[in-house]
Amino acid sequence: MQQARPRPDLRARVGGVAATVALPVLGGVLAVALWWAAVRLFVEPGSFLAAFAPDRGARALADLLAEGALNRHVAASLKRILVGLLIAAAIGIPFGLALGGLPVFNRVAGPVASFVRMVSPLSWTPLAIIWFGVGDQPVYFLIAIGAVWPIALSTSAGVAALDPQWLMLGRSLRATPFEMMRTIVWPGIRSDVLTGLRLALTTAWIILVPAEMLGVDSGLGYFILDSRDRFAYSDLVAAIVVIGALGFVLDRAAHILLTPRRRAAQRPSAPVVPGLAGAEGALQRADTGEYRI
Amino acid sequence: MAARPLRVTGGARRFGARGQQFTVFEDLDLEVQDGEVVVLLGPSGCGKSTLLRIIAGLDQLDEGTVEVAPGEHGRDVGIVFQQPLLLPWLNVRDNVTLGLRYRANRGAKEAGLVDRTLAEFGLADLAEAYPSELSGGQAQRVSLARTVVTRPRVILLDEPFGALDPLTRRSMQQWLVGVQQSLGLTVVMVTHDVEEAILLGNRVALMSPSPGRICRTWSLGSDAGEPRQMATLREEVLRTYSEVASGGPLSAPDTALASAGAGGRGEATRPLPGVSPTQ
Repeated sequence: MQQARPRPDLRARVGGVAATVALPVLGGVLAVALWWAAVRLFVEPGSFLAAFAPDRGARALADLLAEGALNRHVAASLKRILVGLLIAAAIGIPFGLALGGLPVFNRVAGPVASFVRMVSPLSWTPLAIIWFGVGDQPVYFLIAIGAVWPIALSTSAGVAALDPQWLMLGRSLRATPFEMMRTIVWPGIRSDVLTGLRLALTTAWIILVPAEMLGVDSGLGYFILDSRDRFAYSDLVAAIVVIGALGFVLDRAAHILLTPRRRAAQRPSAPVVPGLAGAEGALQRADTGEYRI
Repeated sequence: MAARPLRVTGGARRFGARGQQFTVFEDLDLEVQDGEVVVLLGPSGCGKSTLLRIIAGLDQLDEGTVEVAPGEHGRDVGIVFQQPLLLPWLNVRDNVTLGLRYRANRGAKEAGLVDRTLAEFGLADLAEAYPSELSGGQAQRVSLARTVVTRPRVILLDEPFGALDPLTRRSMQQWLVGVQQSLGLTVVMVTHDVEEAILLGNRVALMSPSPGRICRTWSLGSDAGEPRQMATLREEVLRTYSEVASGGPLSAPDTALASAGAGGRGEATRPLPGVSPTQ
């Protein structure tokens, strides 16, 4: 009988569930097992390093969550990420527009941007503290100076890839420059800008923790140093887990929220690789001497 | 309202720096009347597309003047390009509406206008489709609707069917004749296709290259639809076209330009059956 055979779409769906849920869970379990085995094999039972075992970390995490002790730090970190990203977007999008749309500006600012971008954001820490003192402001600065590049470069690539004939069309329909921006340029580059924001979020999250190790008294980075000073190494492990988990969730959320439902079709788009890969490989001199992704 | 919505007088356009200037066209005169279809016919490089872009306000003359009279809805000219240039993130309806979102075309807005235009252009069923789902002919119809909906006095068509396959092109040409007549559109069209020019034009102006000039015009009277006369006319246009394209002098003395030296303003003087030389 034909019905006896499993329908291929059903089999595909089962395979899909396995691939999207079971395999990642298996990976997580294997990683924890390796972690546990490493502590078991290489750490003397009475040593302070034993506090880094996954079971002790899990217990500490459960306690911290139960007490709500991490809430304040998570809130502080998320606020800094948000403010830092907003500053980066406010600077990065106009800068990227100019970089992609004005050839002369591209020649003048491109090499300088390429130079500054290669300086690790944390190198600015002493300068940031001298400029802004202690508190949230140097953290905003460090996040912004790291996150501005993926946004600027993706925007620039989007502008450079806009079909110039669309602008001619806008002019032929008597659009003002502002109307052209609103109806043609912005929709045309939106998916690139969103890609840039996603890359920027990852960058910002990586910068956040070390940036919070200086001159602030809240946040996940601060909590790691504080745990060290209290010799609460299990808390430190718990903080690392929280940082990784939150970063993972933020990245997934950004993927879902910042991916346009209808991508601007029929033209090459900026890389959608999560993480730094896209941003790092981004700025290169094309034959034209213009800088683009 | 003036009967002549478009007039180009003594137009010239040159490219390049002084000393190494290249004249695209010069001494060019053109007049278009309401409801008329004028076809600018010519080989590549005769400046016909440049002229159209200038009339559309996308480029400027170096000498001479372009006078365009705005229509009752405020818009003077609208242009349709060889490529449809539809915005891929908008569906057909939103692409057609694009021009109406601009302040300059506010005068053309009217309740039901977009729906009516979609229906007139056979696009009602495709209103929600995206450009990637359209065939070449459909996309070009959307492009034309986008221009027509802003209700310009004169519509400029820059080889609008040049990118289509021959079959689609043929059906689009016939479709355009119908739409032009039912809507009473005033059209200036550029093409290098003699058949297309004769099929669509009330008046065909042949341009010669380097520098571009209108070297002859034919008026296609209403009785020009008769097959034998059409054949004669087609032959004559084709012969003149090939003479112009090969750069040689126009052969037949009685049709040679009376005033070739005076700037190519001459027109065909030999009357053809059903075809009258224009002023």
